[in-house]
Amino acid sequence: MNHLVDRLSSDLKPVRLAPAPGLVTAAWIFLSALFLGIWVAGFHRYRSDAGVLIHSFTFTGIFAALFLTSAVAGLLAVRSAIPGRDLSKGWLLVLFLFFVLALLPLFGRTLQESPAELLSGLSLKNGWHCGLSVMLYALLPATVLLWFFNKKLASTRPLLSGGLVGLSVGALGAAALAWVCPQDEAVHLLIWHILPVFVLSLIFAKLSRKFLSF
Amino acid sequence: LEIVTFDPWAANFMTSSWNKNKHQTEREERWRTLFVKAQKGESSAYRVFLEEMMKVLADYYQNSLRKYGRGADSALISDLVQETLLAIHQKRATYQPSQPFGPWLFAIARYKMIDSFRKNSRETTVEDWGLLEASLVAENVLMEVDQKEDLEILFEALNEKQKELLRLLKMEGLSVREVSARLAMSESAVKVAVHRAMKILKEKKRSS
Repeated sequence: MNHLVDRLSSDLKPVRLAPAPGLVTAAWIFLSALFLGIWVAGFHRYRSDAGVLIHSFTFTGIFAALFLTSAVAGLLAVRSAIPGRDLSKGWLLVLFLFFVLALLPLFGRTLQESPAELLSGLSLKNGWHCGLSVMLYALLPATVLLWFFNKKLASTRPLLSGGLVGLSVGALGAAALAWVCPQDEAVHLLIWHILPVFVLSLIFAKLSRKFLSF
Repeated sequence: LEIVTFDPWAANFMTSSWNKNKHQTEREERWRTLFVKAQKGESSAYRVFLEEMMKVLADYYQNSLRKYGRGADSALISDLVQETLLAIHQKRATYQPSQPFGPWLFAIARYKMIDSFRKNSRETTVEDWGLLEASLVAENVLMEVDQKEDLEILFEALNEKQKELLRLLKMEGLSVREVSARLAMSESAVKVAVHRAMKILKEKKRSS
Protein backbone atom coordinates (compact mmCIF):
# COMPACT_ATOMS: atom_id res chain seq x y z
CA MET A 1 0.00 0.00 0.00
CA ASN A 2 2.85 2.36 0.83
CA HIS A 3 4.27 1.59 -2.59
CA LEU A 4 1.04 2.89 -4.09
CA VAL A 5 1.23 6.07 -2.02
CA ASP A 6 4.85 6.55 -3.16
CA ARG A 7 3.93 6.05 -6.78
CA LEU A 8 0.84 8.28 -6.74
CA SER A 9 2.54 11.12 -4.90
CA SER A 10 5.64 10.98 -7.09
CA ASP A 11 3.53 10.89 -10.30
CA LEU A 12 1.57 13.94 -9.20
CA LYS A 13 0.99 16.70 -11.72
CA PRO A 14 -1.16 19.81 -11.38
CA VAL A 15 -4.65 19.34 -12.80
CA ARG A 16 -7.04 21.69 -14.52
CA LEU A 17 -10.32 21.56 -12.62
CA ALA A 18 -13.41 20.22 -14.37
CA PRO A 19 -15.63 23.07 -15.59
CA ALA A 20 -18.81 24.01 -13.73
CA PRO A 21 -21.91 21.92 -14.60
CA GLY A 22 -23.85 24.94 -15.89
CA LEU A 23 -21.06 25.85 -18.29
CA VAL A 24 -20.71 22.28 -19.58
CA THR A 25 -24.46 22.00 -20.13
CA ALA A 26 -24.75 25.37 -21.86
CA ALA A 27 -21.86 24.58 -24.23
CA TRP A 28 -23.20 21.11 -24.97
CA ILE A 29 -26.77 22.25 -25.60
CA PHE A 30 -25.55 25.06 -27.87
CA LEU A 31 -23.33 22.77 -29.94
CA SER A 32 -25.96 20.02 -30.12
CA ALA A 33 -28.68 22.45 -31.18
CA LEU A 34 -26.35 23.91 -33.81
CA PHE A 35 -25.47 20.45 -35.11
CA LEU A 36 -29.14 19.37 -35.27
CA GLY A 37 -30.18 22.66 -36.88
CA ILE A 38 -27.58 22.18 -39.63
CA TRP A 39 -28.51 18.51 -40.06
CA VAL A 40 -32.23 19.25 -40.31
CA ALA A 41 -31.65 22.12 -42.77
CA GLY A 42 -29.14 20.20 -44.84
CA PHE A 43 -30.51 16.68 -45.02
CA HIS A 44 -34.17 16.68 -44.04
CA ARG A 45 -35.36 20.19 -44.86
CA TYR A 46 -37.73 22.05 -42.56
CA ARG A 47 -41.43 21.31 -43.10
CA SER A 48 -43.08 23.66 -45.57
CA ASP A 49 -45.42 25.24 -43.00
CA ALA A 50 -42.62 25.96 -40.50
CA GLY A 51 -43.19 29.71 -40.90
CA VAL A 52 -46.83 29.34 -39.87
CA LEU A 53 -46.08 26.92 -37.03
CA ILE A 54 -43.85 29.45 -35.29
CA HIS A 55 -46.99 31.47 -34.60
CA SER A 56 -48.88 28.44 -33.20
CA PHE A 57 -48.98 28.65 -29.43
CA THR A 58 -49.31 24.85 -28.97
CA PHE A 59 -46.47 24.01 -31.38
CA THR A 60 -44.00 26.51 -29.93
CA GLY A 61 -45.12 25.56 -26.41
CA ILE A 62 -44.41 21.86 -26.99
CA PHE A 63 -41.12 22.68 -28.74
CA ALA A 64 -40.02 24.96 -25.88
CA ALA A 65 -41.04 22.41 -23.24
CA LEU A 66 -39.05 19.67 -25.01
CA PHE A 67 -36.02 21.93 -25.42
CA LEU A 68 -36.13 22.96 -21.75
CA THR A 69 -36.61 19.32 -20.71
CA SER A 70 -33.45 18.55 -22.65
CA ALA A 71 -31.51 21.42 -21.06
CA VAL A 72 -32.57 20.59 -17.48
CA ALA A 73 -32.00 16.84 -17.97
CA GLY A 74 -28.56 17.67 -19.40
CA LEU A 75 -27.72 19.85 -16.43
CA LEU A 76 -28.83 17.17 -13.98
CA ALA A 77 -26.89 14.54 -15.94
CA VAL A 78 -23.71 16.62 -15.63
CA ARG A 79 -24.32 17.19 -11.92
CA SER A 80 -24.93 13.47 -11.40
CA ALA A 81 -21.54 12.77 -12.99
CA ILE A 82 -19.70 14.77 -10.32
CA PRO A 83 -19.16 12.84 -7.08
CA GLY A 84 -21.03 14.17 -4.08
CA ARG A 85 -23.24 16.61 -6.02
CA ASP A 86 -26.89 16.33 -5.08
CA LEU A 87 -29.66 16.54 -7.64
CA SER A 88 -31.81 19.07 -5.86
CA LYS A 89 -35.50 18.28 -5.56
CA GLY A 90 -36.28 21.69 -7.05
CA TRP A 91 -34.46 20.88 -10.31
CA LEU A 92 -36.07 17.44 -10.50
CA LEU A 93 -39.47 19.08 -10.09
CA VAL A 94 -38.65 21.58 -12.84
CA LEU A 95 -37.63 18.70 -15.13
CA PHE A 96 -40.86 16.85 -14.40
CA LEU A 97 -42.94 19.98 -15.03
CA PHE A 98 -41.32 20.72 -18.39
CA PHE A 99 -41.81 17.16 -19.55
CA VAL A 100 -45.45 17.16 -18.42
CA LEU A 101 -45.96 20.49 -20.21
CA ALA A 102 -44.73 18.86 -23.42
CA LEU A 103 -46.94 15.80 -22.98
CA LEU A 104 -50.20 17.29 -21.70
CA PRO A 105 -51.34 19.01 -24.92
CA LEU A 106 -50.62 15.81 -26.82
CA PHE A 107 -52.66 13.66 -24.43
CA GLY A 108 -55.43 16.24 -24.60
CA ARG A 109 -55.49 16.17 -28.39
CA THR A 110 -55.44 12.36 -28.50
CA LEU A 111 -58.87 12.29 -26.88
CA GLN A 112 -60.28 14.47 -29.65
CA GLU A 113 -58.84 12.52 -32.58
CA SER A 114 -60.99 10.39 -34.88
CA PRO A 115 -60.40 6.61 -35.19
CA ALA A 116 -58.86 7.17 -38.64
CA GLU A 117 -56.38 9.66 -37.21
CA LEU A 118 -55.57 7.30 -34.36
CA LEU A 119 -54.87 4.46 -36.79
CA SER A 120 -52.79 6.68 -39.01
CA GLY A 121 -50.81 7.85 -35.98
CA LEU A 122 -50.13 4.31 -34.83
CA SER A 123 -49.07 3.13 -38.28
CA LEU A 124 -45.57 1.69 -38.39
CA LYS A 125 -45.34 2.65 -42.06
CA ASN A 126 -45.75 6.33 -41.20
CA GLY A 127 -43.87 6.20 -37.93
CA TRP A 128 -40.70 4.12 -38.10
CA HIS A 129 -38.83 6.85 -39.90
CA CYS A 130 -39.58 9.33 -37.09
CA GLY A 131 -38.58 6.89 -34.35
CA LEU A 132 -35.32 6.18 -36.14
CA SER A 133 -34.69 9.90 -36.70
CA VAL A 134 -34.99 10.67 -32.96
CA MET A 135 -32.45 7.92 -32.27
CA LEU A 136 -30.07 9.14 -35.00
CA TYR A 137 -30.32 12.77 -33.90
CA ALA A 138 -29.44 11.64 -30.38
CA LEU A 139 -26.43 9.59 -31.30
CA LEU A 140 -23.70 12.19 -31.73
CA PRO A 141 -24.72 14.58 -28.88
CA ALA A 142 -25.04 11.59 -26.53
CA THR A 143 -21.66 10.19 -27.54
CA VAL A 144 -20.02 13.55 -26.97
CA LEU A 145 -21.59 13.95 -23.52
CA LEU A 146 -20.84 10.40 -22.40
CA TRP A 147 -17.27 10.70 -23.66
CA PHE A 148 -16.90 13.89 -21.64
CA PHE A 149 -18.32 12.18 -18.54
CA ASN A 150 -15.92 9.30 -19.00
CA LYS A 151 -12.81 11.42 -19.53
CA LYS A 152 -13.38 14.51 -17.45
CA LEU A 153 -15.98 13.65 -14.81
CA ALA A 154 -16.68 10.67 -12.57
CA SER A 155 -20.19 9.35 -12.34
CA THR A 156 -20.78 7.51 -9.09
CA ARG A 157 -24.40 7.01 -10.19
CA PRO A 158 -23.96 5.72 -13.76
CA LEU A 159 -27.52 4.44 -14.18
CA LEU A 160 -28.93 7.84 -13.28
CA SER A 161 -26.38 9.72 -15.38
CA GLY A 162 -27.07 7.52 -18.40
CA GLY A 163 -30.83 7.77 -18.00
CA LEU A 164 -30.65 11.55 -17.81
CA VAL A 165 -28.35 11.72 -20.84
CA GLY A 166 -30.88 9.59 -22.76
CA LEU A 167 -33.73 11.84 -21.68
CA SER A 168 -31.78 14.95 -22.60
CA VAL A 169 -30.69 13.84 -26.08
CA GLY A 170 -34.05 12.21 -26.76
CA ALA A 171 -35.97 15.39 -25.90
CA LEU A 172 -33.58 17.41 -28.04
CA GLY A 173 -34.05 14.99 -30.94
CA ALA A 174 -37.85 15.12 -30.56
CA ALA A 175 -37.72 18.92 -30.52
CA ALA A 176 -35.63 18.92 -33.73
CA LEU A 177 -37.93 16.40 -35.40
CA ALA A 178 -40.94 18.64 -34.77
CA TRP A 179 -39.55 20.97 -37.48
CA VAL A 180 -39.27 18.14 -40.01
CA CYS A 181 -42.14 15.69 -39.60
CA PRO A 182 -45.31 16.83 -41.43
CA GLN A 183 -47.62 14.59 -39.37
CA ASP A 184 -49.54 16.35 -36.64
CA GLU A 185 -51.64 13.53 -35.15
CA ALA A 186 -51.10 13.52 -31.39
CA VAL A 187 -50.89 9.72 -31.29
CA HIS A 188 -48.15 9.79 -33.91
CA LEU A 189 -46.21 12.35 -31.90
CA LEU A 190 -46.62 10.39 -28.66
CA ILE A 191 -45.69 7.01 -30.11
CA TRP A 192 -43.02 7.91 -32.66
CA HIS A 193 -41.54 11.12 -31.25
CA ILE A 194 -41.91 10.86 -27.46
CA LEU A 195 -41.72 7.11 -26.82
CA PRO A 196 -38.20 6.91 -28.33
CA VAL A 197 -37.14 9.43 -25.66
CA PHE A 198 -37.97 6.87 -22.97
CA VAL A 199 -36.35 4.10 -25.00
CA LEU A 200 -33.18 6.18 -25.28
CA SER A 201 -33.22 6.79 -21.53
CA LEU A 202 -33.36 3.06 -20.88
CA ILE A 203 -30.67 2.27 -23.47
CA PHE A 204 -28.24 4.87 -22.14
CA ALA A 205 -28.93 3.93 -18.52
CA LYS A 206 -28.01 0.35 -19.41
CA LEU A 207 -24.94 1.34 -21.44
CA SER A 208 -23.66 3.79 -18.88
CA ARG A 209 -23.02 1.26 -16.15
CA LYS A 210 -20.33 -0.21 -18.35
CA PHE A 211 -19.20 2.88 -20.19
CA LEU A 212 -18.97 5.25 -17.22
CA SER A 213 -17.31 2.90 -14.76
CA PHE A 214 -13.98 4.07 -13.42
CA LEU B 1 -41.10 32.99 37.01
CA GLU B 2 -38.68 31.13 34.82
CA ILE B 3 -37.50 27.83 36.23
CA VAL B 4 -34.17 26.78 34.86
CA THR B 5 -33.23 23.15 35.39
CA PHE B 6 -29.94 21.57 34.48
CA ASP B 7 -30.03 18.24 32.72
CA PRO B 8 -26.50 16.79 32.84
CA TRP B 9 -27.29 14.02 30.29
CA ALA B 10 -28.64 16.47 27.73
CA ALA B 11 -25.78 18.85 28.34
CA ASN B 12 -23.27 16.07 27.90
CA PHE B 13 -25.01 14.81 24.74
CA MET B 14 -25.12 18.26 23.20
CA THR B 15 -21.49 18.93 24.04
CA SER B 16 -20.29 15.60 22.65
CA SER B 17 -22.45 15.96 19.52
CA TRP B 18 -21.15 19.47 18.97
CA ASN B 19 -17.59 18.31 19.55
CA LYS B 20 -18.10 15.46 17.10
CA ASN B 21 -19.45 17.77 14.39
CA LYS B 22 -16.72 20.28 15.06
CA HIS B 23 -14.09 17.55 14.89
CA GLN B 24 -15.59 16.23 11.65
CA THR B 25 -15.67 19.70 10.09
CA GLU B 26 -12.08 20.36 11.11
CA ARG B 27 -11.00 17.00 9.75
CA GLU B 28 -12.72 17.56 6.39
CA GLU B 29 -11.31 21.06 6.19
CA ARG B 30 -7.80 19.65 6.69
CA TRP B 31 -8.36 17.05 3.94
CA ARG B 32 -9.75 19.74 1.67
CA THR B 33 -6.72 21.98 2.23
CA LEU B 34 -4.30 19.12 1.53
CA PHE B 35 -6.24 17.99 -1.52
CA VAL B 36 -6.46 21.46 -3.03
CA LYS B 37 -2.68 21.70 -2.67
CA ALA B 38 -2.41 18.30 -4.36
CA GLN B 39 -4.57 19.52 -7.23
CA LYS B 40 -1.96 22.24 -7.72
CA GLY B 41 0.79 19.63 -7.84
CA GLU B 42 2.19 19.75 -4.29
CA SER B 43 3.32 16.17 -3.78
CA SER B 44 4.27 16.45 -0.08
CA ALA B 45 0.72 17.54 0.80
CA TYR B 46 -0.64 14.76 -1.40
CA ARG B 47 1.47 12.15 0.39
CA VAL B 48 0.14 13.29 3.80
CA PHE B 49 -3.37 13.23 2.39
CA LEU B 50 -3.03 9.71 0.93
CA GLU B 51 -1.52 8.33 4.11
CA GLU B 52 -4.41 9.72 6.12
CA MET B 53 -6.89 8.42 3.56
CA MET B 54 -5.55 4.89 3.91
CA LYS B 55 -6.71 4.85 7.52
CA VAL B 56 -9.92 6.77 6.93
CA LEU B 57 -11.01 4.55 4.06
CA ALA B 58 -10.06 1.35 5.87
CA ASP B 59 -12.28 2.42 8.79
CA TYR B 60 -15.04 3.44 6.42
CA TYR B 61 -15.01 0.09 4.60
CA GLN B 62 -14.77 -1.89 7.81
CA ASN B 63 -17.90 -0.18 9.15
CA SER B 64 -19.73 -0.29 5.85
CA LEU B 65 -19.01 -3.95 5.16
CA ARG B 66 -20.22 -4.79 8.64
CA LYS B 67 -23.34 -2.73 8.05
CA TYR B 68 -24.03 -4.61 4.80
CA GLY B 69 -23.41 -7.90 6.60
CA ARG B 70 -20.40 -8.77 4.45
CA GLY B 71 -17.90 -9.28 7.25
CA ALA B 72 -14.71 -7.27 7.50
CA ASP B 73 -12.45 -9.28 5.14
CA SER B 74 -9.06 -7.56 5.44
CA ALA B 75 -7.98 -8.48 1.87
CA LEU B 76 -11.20 -7.03 0.48
CA ILE B 77 -10.79 -3.87 2.56
CA SER B 78 -7.22 -3.51 1.38
CA ASP B 79 -8.30 -3.93 -2.27
CA LEU B 80 -11.10 -1.41 -1.85
CA VAL B 81 -8.78 1.13 -0.26
CA GLN B 82 -6.28 0.74 -3.11
CA GLU B 83 -8.92 1.06 -5.79
CA THR B 84 -10.41 4.09 -4.09
CA LEU B 85 -7.02 5.79 -3.81
CA LEU B 86 -6.44 5.15 -7.51
CA ALA B 87 -9.90 6.51 -8.36
CA ILE B 88 -9.30 9.61 -6.24
CA HIS B 89 -6.00 10.11 -8.05
CA GLN B 90 -7.48 9.66 -11.54
CA LYS B 91 -10.54 11.80 -10.88
CA ARG B 92 -8.96 14.49 -8.71
CA ALA B 93 -9.85 17.21 -11.21
CA THR B 94 -13.58 16.64 -10.54
CA TYR B 95 -13.37 18.10 -7.03
CA GLN B 96 -14.31 21.78 -6.91
CA PRO B 97 -12.61 23.55 -3.96
CA SER B 98 -15.76 25.59 -3.33
CA GLN B 99 -17.70 22.38 -2.54
CA PRO B 100 -17.55 20.37 0.70
CA PHE B 101 -14.92 17.64 0.53
CA GLY B 102 -16.57 14.83 2.53
CA PRO B 103 -19.46 14.16 0.12
CA TRP B 104 -17.04 14.01 -2.85
CA LEU B 105 -14.69 11.59 -1.10
CA PHE B 106 -17.33 9.26 0.30
CA ALA B 107 -19.36 9.23 -2.94
CA ILE B 108 -16.30 7.71 -4.64
CA ALA B 109 -15.66 5.34 -1.73
CA ARG B 110 -19.27 4.16 -1.73
CA TYR B 111 -19.27 3.74 -5.52
CA LYS B 112 -16.17 1.56 -5.32
CA MET B 113 -17.74 -0.61 -2.64
CA ILE B 114 -21.00 -1.12 -4.56
CA ASP B 115 -19.02 -1.81 -7.72
CA SER B 116 -17.06 -4.43 -5.84
CA PHE B 117 -20.27 -6.07 -4.54
CA ARG B 118 -21.61 -6.19 -8.08
CA LYS B 119 -18.47 -7.72 -9.52
CA ASN B 120 -18.12 -10.25 -6.73
CA SER B 121 -21.72 -11.32 -7.11
CA ARG B 122 -20.93 -12.64 -10.60
CA GLU B 123 -20.37 -16.33 -10.37
CA THR B 124 -16.76 -17.14 -11.05
CA THR B 125 -15.83 -20.65 -11.85
CA VAL B 126 -12.33 -21.91 -12.42
CA GLU B 127 -12.84 -24.52 -15.08
CA ASP B 128 -9.53 -25.34 -16.64
CA TRP B 129 -7.38 -26.21 -13.65
CA GLY B 130 -4.69 -27.85 -15.77
CA LEU B 131 -4.06 -24.75 -17.84
CA LEU B 132 -3.94 -22.54 -14.79
CA GLU B 133 -1.64 -24.93 -12.99
CA ALA B 134 0.77 -24.99 -15.94
CA SER B 135 0.78 -21.23 -16.06
CA LEU B 136 1.45 -20.89 -12.33
CA VAL B 137 4.21 -23.50 -12.40
CA ALA B 138 5.77 -21.71 -15.38
CA GLU B 139 5.80 -18.51 -13.38
CA ASN B 140 7.45 -20.25 -10.42
CA VAL B 141 4.46 -19.51 -8.23
CA LEU B 142 4.07 -23.22 -7.62
CA MET B 143 6.99 -25.59 -7.73
CA GLU B 144 4.83 -28.60 -8.30
CA VAL B 145 1.21 -29.39 -7.93
CA ASP B 146 0.45 -33.04 -7.75
CA GLN B 147 -3.27 -33.02 -7.77
CA LYS B 148 -6.07 -30.77 -8.84
CA GLU B 149 -7.29 -30.69 -5.25
CA ASP B 150 -4.05 -29.01 -4.16
CA LEU B 151 -4.73 -26.11 -6.41
CA GLU B 152 -8.33 -25.91 -5.30
CA ILE B 153 -7.19 -25.74 -1.68
CA LEU B 154 -4.65 -23.05 -2.55
CA PHE B 155 -7.32 -21.05 -4.31
CA GLU B 156 -9.43 -20.93 -1.19
CA ALA B 157 -6.97 -18.33 0.05
CA LEU B 158 -8.01 -15.96 -2.74
CA ASN B 159 -11.11 -13.83 -2.88
CA GLU B 160 -13.53 -14.06 -5.80
CA LYS B 161 -12.03 -11.09 -7.56
CA GLN B 162 -8.52 -12.49 -7.44
CA LYS B 163 -9.77 -15.82 -8.80
CA GLU B 164 -11.54 -14.00 -11.62
CA LEU B 165 -8.41 -12.02 -12.44
CA LEU B 166 -6.23 -15.13 -12.62
CA ARG B 167 -8.85 -16.94 -14.68
CA LEU B 168 -8.99 -14.14 -17.24
CA LEU B 169 -5.25 -13.57 -17.37
CA LYS B 170 -3.93 -17.09 -17.16
CA MET B 171 -6.65 -19.28 -18.60
CA GLU B 172 -8.35 -17.06 -21.13
CA GLY B 173 -5.01 -15.47 -21.96
CA LEU B 174 -6.27 -11.90 -21.95
CA SER B 175 -3.83 -9.03 -21.66
CA VAL B 176 -3.75 -6.75 -18.62
CA ARG B 177 -5.38 -4.03 -20.71
CA GLU B 178 -8.21 -6.34 -21.78
CA VAL B 179 -8.77 -7.52 -18.22
CA SER B 180 -8.80 -3.96 -16.94
CA ALA B 181 -11.42 -3.03 -19.54
CA ARG B 182 -13.55 -6.08 -18.81
CA LEU B 183 -13.50 -5.66 -15.05
CA ALA B 184 -13.62 -1.86 -15.20
CA MET B 185 -10.40 -1.55 -13.21
CA SER B 186 -7.34 0.47 -13.98
CA GLU B 187 -4.37 -1.42 -15.41
CA SER B 188 -2.29 -0.66 -12.36
CA ALA B 189 -5.06 -1.97 -10.07
CA VAL B 190 -5.09 -5.23 -12.08
CA LYS B 191 -1.32 -5.58 -11.73
CA VAL B 192 -1.44 -4.86 -8.01
CA ALA B 193 -4.26 -7.37 -7.46
CA VAL B 194 -2.54 -10.10 -9.50
CA HIS B 195 0.73 -9.51 -7.72
CA ARG B 196 -1.06 -9.86 -4.40
CA ALA B 197 -2.85 -13.03 -5.53
CA MET B 198 0.44 -14.59 -6.61
CA LYS B 199 2.02 -13.68 -3.29
CA ILE B 200 -0.86 -15.26 -1.40
CA LEU B 201 -0.58 -18.44 -3.47
CA LYS B 202 3.17 -18.63 -2.88
CA GLU B 203 2.75 -18.20 0.87
CA LYS B 204 -0.06 -20.69 1.02
CA LYS B 205 2.00 -23.23 -0.92
CA ARG B 206 5.02 -22.66 1.31
CA SER B 207 3.01 -23.16 4.47
CA SER B 208 1.20 -26.31 3.22
